[in-house]
Amino acid sequence: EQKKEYIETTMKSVDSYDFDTITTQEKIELFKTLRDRKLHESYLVLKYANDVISAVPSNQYFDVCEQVVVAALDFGKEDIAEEYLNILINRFSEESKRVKLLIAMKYEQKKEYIAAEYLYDELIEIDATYSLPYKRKIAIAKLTDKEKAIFLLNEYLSVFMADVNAWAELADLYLSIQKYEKALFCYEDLILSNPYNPHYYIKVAEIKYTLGGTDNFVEARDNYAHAIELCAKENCVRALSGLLMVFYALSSQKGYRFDAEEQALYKWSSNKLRTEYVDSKSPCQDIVIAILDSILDF
Amino acid sequence: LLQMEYSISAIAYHKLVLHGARYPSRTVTGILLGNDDGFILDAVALFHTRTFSPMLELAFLQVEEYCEREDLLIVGYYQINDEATSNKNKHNPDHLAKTITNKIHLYNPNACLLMIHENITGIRPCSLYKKQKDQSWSEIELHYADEPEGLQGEVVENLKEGLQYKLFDFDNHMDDISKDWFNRNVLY
Repeated sequence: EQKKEYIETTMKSVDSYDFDTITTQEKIELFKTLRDRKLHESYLVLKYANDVISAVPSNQYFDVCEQVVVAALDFGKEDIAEEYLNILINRFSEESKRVKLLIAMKYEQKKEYIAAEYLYDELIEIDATYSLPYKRKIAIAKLTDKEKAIFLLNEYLSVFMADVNAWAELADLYLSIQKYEKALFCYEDLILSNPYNPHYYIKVAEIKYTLGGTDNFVEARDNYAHAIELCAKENCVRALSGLLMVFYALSSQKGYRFDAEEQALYKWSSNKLRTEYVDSKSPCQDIVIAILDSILDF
Repeated sequence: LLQMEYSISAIAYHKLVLHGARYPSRTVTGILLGNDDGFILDAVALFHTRTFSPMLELAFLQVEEYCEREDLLIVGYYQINDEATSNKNKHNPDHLAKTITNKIHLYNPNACLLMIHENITGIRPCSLYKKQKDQSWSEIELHYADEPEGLQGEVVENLKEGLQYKLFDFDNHMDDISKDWFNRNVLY
């Protein structure tokens, strides 16, 4: 029972809250969701900090303090960061790893990168298995030297090779300097270790489609199709739409003829998308149906 | 030869600022809609993730359909770079901005590119660019249809109320199609 509740709480998305009517209990739940899913919504954290701090169960109190420090640093609210950081220093001392990390992040926020990196290196020496100082160093590198960030991130991944978020981050860094093949390598690695996650196939499809040409469109088609299979009941609109766009792109490739299987897949996905929009009474229904009836009808 | 003068409506201005405020740590992009006389009347929020062709092309299909219904034109593109972009480069048209605006330029030779050169809660934070005959991009003047101080005040109020959480972009729509990414009611 408790496990089911936990899963339901952590699967809730930020958008599912009605911020006009959100209760204190929901705010506490939101903070926990953000921590568990490692999301940053610093505006919301700062907005609800007071409410949550005064009502949160004691076993979450210091986690919330840490969360507020990070949010405050994100928005440059030095006073608030200082206030909550002091609570943590008083309880855990400056020598605690997590507190030291926050102190270093404070330097980072002030753009005192040398001081920040000094502390991050100290933390790495104390405990080479603590991943966050490495990540902060990479974050600093991203601001000034992308090649260095990529180098550090590769180094990090040679040790922490199961960190899927880091692999995705590396892929994105490669994409930002147009190294598409290297980005695809990262996603291939992710697919090898997580073959049931549809999002990686979608990403591969998007890159292939963007690179263009019949061969890439065909690979995009296969990746989108696989993603749709993996989404199953959830009817992934992104993958369905992407697949239709691939068919549209292929239809304008010289000499490309759709075989029976492709025709069937095209009809199936077009209907599926149409049904999805109609059943959900989407406000964009009219626009999408019009497109399905005209441009994406071939 | 009269140069076209560009001005931006309060609605378009608020919508793009809200989009930027919703995702301060990301680069956000969108399409500008308006008319033939240089008026930017609406802003449609595209992405807060890296741009790829399939979703970009689909978004444009939807925007074109929307424009037909609302009797509007695609007049430009906006991009608000994330905090990691250094301040001096923040408002410089980069490869992505130029590529997309170039595509719009094929259909509308008056296409403009809007970027933000400072904090979005500042007064007159927008920089507008247009492609010149020699293929270079130069900054041109942007008029604000409402008084800039007034606009800034409204922006601050909107952000205090968290209005940015009521604005949805195409990425949000792809995750949940019940979200109206044309944000037809967000400011009312």
